[in-house]
Amino acid sequence: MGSPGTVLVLTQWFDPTADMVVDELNRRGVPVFRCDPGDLPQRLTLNAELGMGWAGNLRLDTGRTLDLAEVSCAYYRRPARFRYPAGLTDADQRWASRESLRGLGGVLHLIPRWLNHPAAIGRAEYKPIQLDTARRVGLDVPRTLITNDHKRAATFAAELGGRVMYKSLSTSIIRGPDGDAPRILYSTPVAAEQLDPAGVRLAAHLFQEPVSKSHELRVTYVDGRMYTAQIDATSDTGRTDWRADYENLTYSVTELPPPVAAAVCRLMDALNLRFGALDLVVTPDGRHVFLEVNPNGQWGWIEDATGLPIAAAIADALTVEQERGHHD
Amino acid sequence: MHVLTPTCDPLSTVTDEFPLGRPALPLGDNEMPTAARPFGVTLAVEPTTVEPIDVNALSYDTHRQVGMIRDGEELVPLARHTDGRTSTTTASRDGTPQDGDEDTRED
Repeated sequence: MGSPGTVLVLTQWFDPTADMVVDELNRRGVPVFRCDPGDLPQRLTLNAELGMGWAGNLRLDTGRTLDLAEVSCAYYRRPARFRYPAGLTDADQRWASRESLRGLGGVLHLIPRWLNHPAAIGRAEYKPIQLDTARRVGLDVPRTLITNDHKRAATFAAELGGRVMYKSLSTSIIRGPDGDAPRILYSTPVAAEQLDPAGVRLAAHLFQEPVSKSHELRVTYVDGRMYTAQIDATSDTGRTDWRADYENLTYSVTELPPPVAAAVCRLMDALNLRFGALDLVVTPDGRHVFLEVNPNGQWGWIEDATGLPIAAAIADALTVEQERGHHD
Repeated sequence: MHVLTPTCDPLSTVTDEFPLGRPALPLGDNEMPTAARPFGVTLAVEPTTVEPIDVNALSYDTHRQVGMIRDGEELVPLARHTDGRTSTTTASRDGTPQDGDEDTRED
């Protein structure tokens, strides 16, 4: 895979955020090939042959074809699962998915430039890794406990005044036992006496020190540039977790203090991420406390609310010929 | 990203294949059934704002390679039409798993 040219956008067709970047690339006249790897086998065909490297193409049923050698950078957004024609057994679907993962995924992994490389996203999604990395680069991180031992969790809560914040380690979308409508798991304050021993036992749970908030920040990092939105919540629900009450948020553009910005750059370098959406709390006394980095996080609504030119920055990052040096 | 899902993300990563959860023989006979649910799951709540979207109004422009939505008689680009609240809501309904950033109002 060599000569620069086409930006490969990997996402499902319904992705308004990716649309913003594709629009921007279209405006610039940059060749784009957008596909959902999950369309293999029904709408996507892969051909790759090993010679002096993997050479071949991806072909959509619309007729649009990508020569893999033309890919200059790949933008990993939100691909869907592989989908199959009716009639395949679940077992056959699982087998076919594993084969396609290793085949298509393996070939695509070799594309030299990504925003972000899926392997980097996968690693950074682990909160224990990102929290430890954030601590090591000098960011202020809340005290954190991961356990399935309710007694340890209760002790931790007692050390912190009787209450902790519970946060999920993976997905926040919770399915009901009977196929009910999904429920959402926000950051939730938990008192020590709420900790159900049997329930805590059933999984690793992440508990954190509650952090007093003046306001919160959503920092969209793109190749060393930072676009920082201040989020002010006007409801108790929103102050606990702004995701829980979008109707009562206001946004404004701000900047990180230089030492915090430098630490964010070190964090992203350490996690090998060119893009990330970070959540920080600013305390009443002005401390900037790192909560998390979403290595494939959303930013479209931030651009809509603030005018911050994030899509343009991503388009820049997808088309620069050399890796941008991060500032210190 | 989800670890060890049976039909995983098409580009599931090395880290996602972190080798935990292989099939194994049970150890001992003390694996009692439980009525409990994981504690974290019990803290989930109904989304406060669900903005319905008419999926029949959506389409995809294969030339421009962007999503479109019908607005009256005309098709307009989806990204510039919505304020972005619909994506996750729809994804939640149709069973699409989300990645690590779990904002309820994504895109």
